[in-house]
Amino acid sequence: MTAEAAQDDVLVSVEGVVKYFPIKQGIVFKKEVARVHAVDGVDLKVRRGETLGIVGESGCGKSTLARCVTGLYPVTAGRITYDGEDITGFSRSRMKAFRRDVQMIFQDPYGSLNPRRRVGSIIGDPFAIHNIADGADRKKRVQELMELVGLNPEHYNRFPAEFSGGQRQRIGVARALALKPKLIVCDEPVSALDVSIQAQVINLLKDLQDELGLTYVFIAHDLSVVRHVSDRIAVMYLGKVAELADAPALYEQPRHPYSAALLSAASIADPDEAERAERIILIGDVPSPIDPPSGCRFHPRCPKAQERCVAEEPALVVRDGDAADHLTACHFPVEPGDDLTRAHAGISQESTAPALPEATT
Amino acid sequence: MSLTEAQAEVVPAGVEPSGRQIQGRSPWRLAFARLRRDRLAMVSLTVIVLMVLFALSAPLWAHWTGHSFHKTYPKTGLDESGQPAGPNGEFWLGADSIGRDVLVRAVYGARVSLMVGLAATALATVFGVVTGVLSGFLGGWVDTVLARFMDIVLSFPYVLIAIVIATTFGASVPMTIIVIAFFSFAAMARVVRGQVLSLREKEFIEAARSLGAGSLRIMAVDVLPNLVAPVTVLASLLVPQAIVFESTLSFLGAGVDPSTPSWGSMLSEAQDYYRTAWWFLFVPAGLLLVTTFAFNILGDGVRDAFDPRTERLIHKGRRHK
Amino acid sequence: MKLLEVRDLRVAFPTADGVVRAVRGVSFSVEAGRTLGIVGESGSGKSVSTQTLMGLTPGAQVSGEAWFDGQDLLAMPERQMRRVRGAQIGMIFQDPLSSLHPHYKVGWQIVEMIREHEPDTGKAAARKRAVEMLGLVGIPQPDRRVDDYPHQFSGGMRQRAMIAMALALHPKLIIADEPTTALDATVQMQILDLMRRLQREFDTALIMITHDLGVIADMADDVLVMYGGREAEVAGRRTLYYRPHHPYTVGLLESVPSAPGVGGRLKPIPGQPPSLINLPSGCVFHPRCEYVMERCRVDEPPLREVVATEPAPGEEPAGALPGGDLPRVDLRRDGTHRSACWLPHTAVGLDAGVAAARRAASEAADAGAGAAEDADGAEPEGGER
Repeated sequence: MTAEAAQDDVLVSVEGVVKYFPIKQGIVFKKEVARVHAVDGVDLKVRRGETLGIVGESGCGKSTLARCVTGLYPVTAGRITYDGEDITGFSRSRMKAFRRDVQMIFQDPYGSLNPRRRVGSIIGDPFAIHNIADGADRKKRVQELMELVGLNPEHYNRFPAEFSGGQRQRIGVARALALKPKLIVCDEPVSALDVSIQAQVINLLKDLQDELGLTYVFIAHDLSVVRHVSDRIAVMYLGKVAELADAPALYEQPRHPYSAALLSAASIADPDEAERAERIILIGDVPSPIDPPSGCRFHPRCPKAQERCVAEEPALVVRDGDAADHLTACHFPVEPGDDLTRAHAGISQESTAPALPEATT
Repeated sequence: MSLTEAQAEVVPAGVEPSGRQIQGRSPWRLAFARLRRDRLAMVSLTVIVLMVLFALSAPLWAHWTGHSFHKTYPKTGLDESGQPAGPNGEFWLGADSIGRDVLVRAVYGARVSLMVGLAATALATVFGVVTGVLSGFLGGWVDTVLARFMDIVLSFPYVLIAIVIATTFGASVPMTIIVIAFFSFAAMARVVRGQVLSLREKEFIEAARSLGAGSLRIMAVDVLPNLVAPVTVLASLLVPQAIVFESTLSFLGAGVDPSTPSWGSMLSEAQDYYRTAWWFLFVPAGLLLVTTFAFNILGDGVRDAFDPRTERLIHKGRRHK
Repeated sequence: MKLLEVRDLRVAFPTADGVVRAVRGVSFSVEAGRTLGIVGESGSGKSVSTQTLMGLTPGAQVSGEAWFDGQDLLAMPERQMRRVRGAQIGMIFQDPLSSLHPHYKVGWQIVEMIREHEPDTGKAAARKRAVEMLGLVGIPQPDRRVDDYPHQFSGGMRQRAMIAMALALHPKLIIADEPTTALDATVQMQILDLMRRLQREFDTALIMITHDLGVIADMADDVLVMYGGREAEVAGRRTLYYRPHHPYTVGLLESVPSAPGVGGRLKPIPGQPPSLINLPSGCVFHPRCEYVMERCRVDEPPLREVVATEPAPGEEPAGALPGGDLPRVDLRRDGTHRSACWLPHTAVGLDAGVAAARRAASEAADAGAGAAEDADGAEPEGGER
């Protein structure tokens, strides 16, 4: 896509961002009893015109990070700058202006549209909120948007329930485009859609990027989708970035064992390929972000874990032999030729391997 | 569970490939169409409309019978022994213990009962929605204060308080309306608060915020329209409660002032005569029963119309992560 | 020997907005030790079909037969059904909480289920079996976790516990309805691996319902593709992936972003899924099909055999189209291949040559049928631009 975007033309910079959610108990006087470490020290840069993919499983903090970037959640610590300005210190009026530049597309095509409002009024909302256009002018602009995203403008007066999932997601895209934003944060925009419809929406997003010069932050748990749309990819695990690299580099030579496992877990719609694939079957589940593991957060599941991983948290830096923008947070990065399917950790881990012989096909 | 898949099929219903049907089918219109198919609800609605017409036509009945609602007719209305006369050519539904026309009093009583019921419900709805929305949407200390206040109101022994108010400030129609509204609003506020709490978590509220909408706009544009269905349902069930409440207060002498006829005060006067003059008791009791029954059935119908199984499934429409 | 044979299953739900025709005459069968994958998108009827077999669709109008072990499941009284459910047919759902009760200990639930179906088993023995099952599915420290409540388990562990419960009575058939859809990718791997091992160990038949073509490619022996409440295509796994016939199957395979050609444009299926209340005429897929013919708008195609001739070893199947060095498909091993589409029965495969042949066949059919005016009358809206 727009790989020619200058390396240092940074649109959004996330610096040491931490977001905790307190868990409170009590009826009248609420006391904090624990906190969810949703995002726990993340540094990322989004370059103008690129698509930055953020991948990770539930609880990795990708959606929380997205909401911090769009200003929906205040950060607990750290800085987020947009075009050089720190958004965490924005006044109300400045924030409202910022919202015109940064928009969001949501995951749930059913929950993200108000069921009691007509489509025209939903898409026209941004114009009404920012007093940009009204009456016939607003209707005209809304219908132009509907056409742009492939909806029939004559359906202006319909309700969301009269559209199917894919069409609803188009409505959400039209709404996000209304104010001509520069950055759109897509929070799992296709994961609730059927396979045949997913491709429609992904193509639409790509076309719009080419036409309007948009910058995307694209969040997903599905690696194949992220790979398809992203220029660079950040892999997140339990509130931290595990690996950050150009999309092809990450797919060819993942350095973090978690990235490697995630990649090998991607579904392959080809029986022969699937049989040939070296699947890394991790043990255990993602631990709770309320009480994350010490050291490297991946150590209880990592096939390469050693004592050092339990004690010391690895920094997100360039590892030996990698390109300058390929960062990995791992003490023992995966080397070419490593077979993670056979690797055994040097520490004791709670095994979840079934007490059954392997099924060889 | 059973229809997990069927949900999705219902979604594009009506979206014919030809796209000819351009005007959207609003949730209101869909609900009304479903209500119209509900026979029992339609019968109830007819009963209610007839009851309202009956109440509105009160002066006509006074004219036709030639009886005023407050005048006693001791010569024709009572027999030699002072017992009330039964239904006859002059007193179509009999006379009461001091010789007043039961029919004329009942029709004027209908005015009071329906007015108090509807006005109290309207008042309770307005206050309940405002309190519930503020409490649920703003959260924090506003919610703590308002929610505790609702709890307190709901735990009042309301009949006792109403009697105290009536004896302190005197019984009157406006006072009855205020008392009933005050004790009903908390139920409304609580339901609304619960709805708002769940609405607040919806992605479309987040979407509105990310577009730059302020809290007031979100409450008015995004929250309120989603409350129409539950509020309409609850309000239609509050009306019969309010009518019964009014009758109870009037029966106890703490409602409308005794000179105004109401079904409750008629019942109160009739309680000693049910052996000798059944009509005296049966007419107000029957009207009260039919009216509250009709409102309740209609309320159920409205609820079903707003929330049929298919629509519930659509709202559960998330399939996978 | 067929363990389960379903014939002409039809399911409809009367709703306020009309009758939802969820399943419209579907037949399939599973043999012991084999895996049948049912693929389809939301509204294809894939879940409703199996839920109906298990008597889990109250209020539905059902017809057809479902022979399991000599008994018709659809004609069975509820009491007998309850004996079959759980003991002879195990079920695994997307949401583990639909079969694990949140207020009872996981172990206790397994014990109760064992004792309900096998009243002779003692409490201690049943508990021992529950612990064994939990260990078998890879739950660490099963003797301790057996006394935990479902909410003390993580998502993946709950799914394991549900599988343990479904297998506790060694059923002959397991129906898994989107068993990994709600799970994270790395956990999905674990569960699929577990299910494969269990199936191998116990020689169970498995029906795997999913929307994920990757899961099917990994797990299934035979595949049934459903669309709009009917079979679109039935084939062996490799036949389906390498020699698909139905344009819907082709579209599904081509729209998956995991296909090798990275970066380029995806090829979606245009249009929207059909409304089951207001079904399109003729072939349900015709409004979205790129090879639509006049006939497709009127006649619903029956499920017909495709590439009927079996090739000699080393020889290309008869009617194979030029232009592809397709992976070889052993038709004898892969069983019959049937598709509900009017296109010529030889038009199988994924490459450009087959696409051209399909197009030519479709155009020739329409030219033969005479004037094909107003061909775009039923063009779907909101399709790909």
